[in-house]
Amino acid sequence: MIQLKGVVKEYGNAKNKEVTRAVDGIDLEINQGEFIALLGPSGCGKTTTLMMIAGLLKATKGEILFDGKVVNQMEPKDRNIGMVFQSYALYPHLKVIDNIAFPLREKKVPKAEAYEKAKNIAKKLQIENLLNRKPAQLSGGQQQRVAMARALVKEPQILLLDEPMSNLDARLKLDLRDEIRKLQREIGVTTIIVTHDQEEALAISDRVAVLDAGKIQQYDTPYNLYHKPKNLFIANFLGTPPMNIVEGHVEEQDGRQVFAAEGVRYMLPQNREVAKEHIGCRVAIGLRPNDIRICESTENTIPVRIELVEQLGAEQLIKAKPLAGDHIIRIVAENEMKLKAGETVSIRILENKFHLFNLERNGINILS
Amino acid sequence: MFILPFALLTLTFFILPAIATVWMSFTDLDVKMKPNFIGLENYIRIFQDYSLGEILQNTIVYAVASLGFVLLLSLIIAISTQYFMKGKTVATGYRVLWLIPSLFPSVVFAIFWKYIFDPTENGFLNKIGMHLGAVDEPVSWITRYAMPIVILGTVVGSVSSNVILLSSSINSIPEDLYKAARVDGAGEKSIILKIILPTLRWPLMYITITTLIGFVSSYFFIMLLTDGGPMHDSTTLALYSYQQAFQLKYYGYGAAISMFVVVIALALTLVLLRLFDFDALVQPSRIEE
Repeated sequence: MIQLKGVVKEYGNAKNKEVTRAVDGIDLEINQGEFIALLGPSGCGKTTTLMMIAGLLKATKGEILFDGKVVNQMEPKDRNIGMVFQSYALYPHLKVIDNIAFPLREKKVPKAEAYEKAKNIAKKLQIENLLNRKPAQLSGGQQQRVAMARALVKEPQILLLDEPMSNLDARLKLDLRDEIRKLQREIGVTTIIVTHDQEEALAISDRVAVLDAGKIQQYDTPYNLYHKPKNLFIANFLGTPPMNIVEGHVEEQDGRQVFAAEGVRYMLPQNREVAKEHIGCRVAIGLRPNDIRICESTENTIPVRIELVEQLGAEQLIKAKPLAGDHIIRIVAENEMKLKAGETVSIRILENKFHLFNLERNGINILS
Repeated sequence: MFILPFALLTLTFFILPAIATVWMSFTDLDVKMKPNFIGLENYIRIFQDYSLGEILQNTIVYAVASLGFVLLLSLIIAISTQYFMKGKTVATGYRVLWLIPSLFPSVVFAIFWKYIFDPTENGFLNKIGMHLGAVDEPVSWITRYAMPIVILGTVVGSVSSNVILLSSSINSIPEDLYKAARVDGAGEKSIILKIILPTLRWPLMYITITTLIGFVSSYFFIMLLTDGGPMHDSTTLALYSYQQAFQLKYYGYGAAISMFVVVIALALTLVLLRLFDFDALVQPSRIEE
């Protein structure tokens, strides 16, 4: 088990004594054999966190524990980790087989045994026909496999993947993603992947830690992240096309609660009303484009004018504006619906699918 | 068409002098400026020259020892400033210090060395030595240690440009490679031997070839410092050629000796290229799906 307790990483600037916090107090627990992802926009501290787990960077504050043992001062080579870098970082002067055997040779494993193991792992990753090539003679996908083999050959306790697939084309990414997942299950190695690709993170891992500004915003299963976002950042960050966020407030009207914004009035269903303290606060409603239906004008619907219709292939993306407002609302509709720009239609919000965030309290989700 | 002017320049200044030298080496051209064709006589004379053995030996000692020290020093400085102290101001400053010898004209530097090793009691080394009581009377350093001093001066003067070349190569190694190596359990020794040195293979080849040829064919610095003396103790082949041609005015014989130097330099280049497996560099890399 890996534990991070209040881990902080600061970069000092000697000249103006300015201190930047790349990682600002991270708590994380990763169980044996689990596959977790560190996800976030660039500069959120995810790679820094990974580097601290690897031991390539020293934490300024806090503790990192492997199986209950503090490893803060331990050198990378003593941590029993395998690592794959974004650039693959293959040794350019060594043949593929020598690259794979390198970690074992550095551990003073006898030559014959090291090369035997290297060959076995190469077979597992289907690169045994490339063993005599130099890295420069390999394609990106092949290099990625060699890097994986090199990371796994020493049978590490932890596998660290630093954006391992961001240099590959989309199709190859999908194949490799499945393969990495399969391999990880087979070996049972605890794995941490750093990525900025949310689809990749959600698809591949058991749990995802979403980071922003050096802090974990939410650490949860992919399902919960998407369906029960803890705050506005998570809601906004996950999902394509992105969630619609409309700012307004909740008011009371005839004993019912109503979300009101420019051009939008939506009566909240009685089982999803907010606590009294949030009434009157600046509140944003979050609506996934898939959770809005275009319908006949009835009670509790919102009239909108269609501005743009985009074909996504399997469905169409509608961009519409409320008749009395100026914010764009994105709606995903079935291809069968014949919709044109300039048309006025009504939209209905699926009753149990909307989120409300209190903007006066850091965008916390007040309905979950 | 467009390269014609340049081709003419090349012809006038590079190729014609080369041909003239070759031609001269087959004549008895001297101060009378009346060349007579004498065939291979000059070349035969080279091999009959009683000082040839000593001079050839000096050339080898001078070139090989200087090259060895230059390579070793450049590597140590480049690796320590660009790998161990990467990005530190001190490291850059230190590299700049090494540039100083190549900034000054070698004449100035030769005077500096002459002052240090001056045989009178006013020489720097003698002053210090006598002050500390290490020597009782002034030592004529240059007479006694002519070759080591010449090598020392040469090495100090040629390290800096090589350091720059090697440093930039080390700088081009991606940071991830060091990180990967550290995760893979490699120590500093492995990183230097298995990552940095292989990267430096081509720069090292370039340095070895150019400096070696430079040492074999240059005489300027030795001339300034010791003028090949005492006797022929620090005379190299290139210096000997200069002395024969310009001091003794045996132009034809001097030309023949310099031809000899050219042949040696060419042979060395070919051997070194083979040694470094130059073919591997020019071969294109192969990428297959």
